[in-house]
Amino acid sequence: MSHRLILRVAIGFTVLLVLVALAFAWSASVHDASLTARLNAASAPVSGAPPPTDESATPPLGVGSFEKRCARCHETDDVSAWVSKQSGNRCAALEGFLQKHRKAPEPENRAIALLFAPGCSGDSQTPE
Amino acid sequence: MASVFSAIFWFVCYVAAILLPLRFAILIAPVEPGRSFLLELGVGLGLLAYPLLTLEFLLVGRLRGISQLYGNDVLMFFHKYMGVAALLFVIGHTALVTQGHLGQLNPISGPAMLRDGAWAFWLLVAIAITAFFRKPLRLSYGLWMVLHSLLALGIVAFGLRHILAVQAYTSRPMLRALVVGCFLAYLLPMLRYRVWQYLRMLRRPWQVVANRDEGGRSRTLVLEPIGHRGFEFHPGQFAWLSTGRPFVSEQHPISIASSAELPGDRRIEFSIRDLGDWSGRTVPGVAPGSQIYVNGPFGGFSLDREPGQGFVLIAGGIGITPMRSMLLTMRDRGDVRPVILFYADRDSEALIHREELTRMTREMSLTLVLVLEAPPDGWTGERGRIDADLLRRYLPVQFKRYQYFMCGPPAMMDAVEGHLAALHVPQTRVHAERFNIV
Repeated sequence: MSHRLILRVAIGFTVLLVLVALAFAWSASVHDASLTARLNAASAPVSGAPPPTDESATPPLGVGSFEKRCARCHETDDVSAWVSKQSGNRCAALEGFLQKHRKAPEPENRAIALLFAPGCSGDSQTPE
Repeated sequence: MASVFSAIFWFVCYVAAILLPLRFAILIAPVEPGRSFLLELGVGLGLLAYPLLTLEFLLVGRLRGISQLYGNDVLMFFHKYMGVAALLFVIGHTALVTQGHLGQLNPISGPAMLRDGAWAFWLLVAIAITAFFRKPLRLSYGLWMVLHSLLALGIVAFGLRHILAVQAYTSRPMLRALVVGCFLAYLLPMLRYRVWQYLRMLRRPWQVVANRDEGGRSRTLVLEPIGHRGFEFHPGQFAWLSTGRPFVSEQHPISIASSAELPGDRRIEFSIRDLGDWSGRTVPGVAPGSQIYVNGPFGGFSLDREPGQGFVLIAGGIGITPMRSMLLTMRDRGDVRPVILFYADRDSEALIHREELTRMTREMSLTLVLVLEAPPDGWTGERGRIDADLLRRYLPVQFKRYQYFMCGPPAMMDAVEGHLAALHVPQTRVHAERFNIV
């Protein structure tokens, strides 16, 4: 088999693999979207039910959320150091970063933000 | 025809094995809601890169069946191209998953999962650099082989630890098992290669009967098996030679130069040109009577596998050795099919086995075409390089039904491949064996 033929087979195979990776990403994203929609629907306040208390955004939940979302790649000391280096509104900076970084559900972002920037009110994360 | 089906079957198995972890991951619901398309794409590239990397060794791990089915040249190039593909996938994976946080590529600090990934990444970069720039880096072939093996081991080991520690898709036992299976697909052939085959070589030594100077900075080692029957081979195949004990000495892939119709003493010959390394430092000093170790035969570069009305052999430099084996075998078998041998080198002193080849033109249906870049005065053969015009002048009318075998330096092979394509020789009839690939 000639060298050119091997090169063509290799390129064709690589393109096939890239297409499979794209299909995987698309498939996972579609799953994600439907799953997120289901979660949102499930967590929507029922008419007449009391509004969720702030307990859901207390530091213990933040610790759990951090463990779940961030701890695989980041250590708490690193994040604290990063937050302390931010000038201006640290809370907004951290929440902006969290939103951009992972698209985690809003309550979890807020909980993680409260963990590292206790002054966060929970209202400042959405830039107007 | 059966070998074609076998080749297709095993290639399909290879593709299926590469896709298996990702295929399984597709079946799993996402482990975390809200992950972006790009992040999932990065994960997908990683799940493709790992089996690609672990199966790289299968391609070049001296598995005789695979080597004979596809040919060494095909496997070496495919190994190289798939290595590049895996590197690109890993770069894509790293860029998409770290999302620009380059600190995660620090192999010294950070969580263990990231450190392992960073080590695998940098070792992969190192293996690519040393493979593509071995000569500019002045790495000897033997040292490079050791380095390549160690880096590969590091990549698959750190890669395994990284993937298992991520605990996202690979938190599922089935996917963990598949990833561990990929690692074993690297480890088991590697142990077979590095331990079992080396022990087998030690148990089956060969004795150097003669070490002939052939001129042209080339020598021929004549070897005889000690206490065993050696091995059968197809003309054009090669073997790994070690002038010292296999576990501690370099091994070099060398084409067998003698007839596949073995004599009673089952001797075989290897012609080796001084290329400035082991071939020049060690081979000239190998004394008759000394022991040598041989692991073979390997490769699918042989006219035994390719039926044809006739054969065109194109050799450059020391690439004449597999052609000599083919011609001697045809002569010994009384094969009457026509053969045209194009043999190119720089000058007449560089040509080896010239008298023997000239003699064979009378003993069999052989046309010998010698081509010199710098011919001496009074040279009656061809001048310059092998090109389409030269080929056209010697090829018979039915040249598309012949089988073409090429062996020589990469630049010559690339050029001749282009000339044969220009002549509309079917690509499936062109067979190549390159040396000095790395």
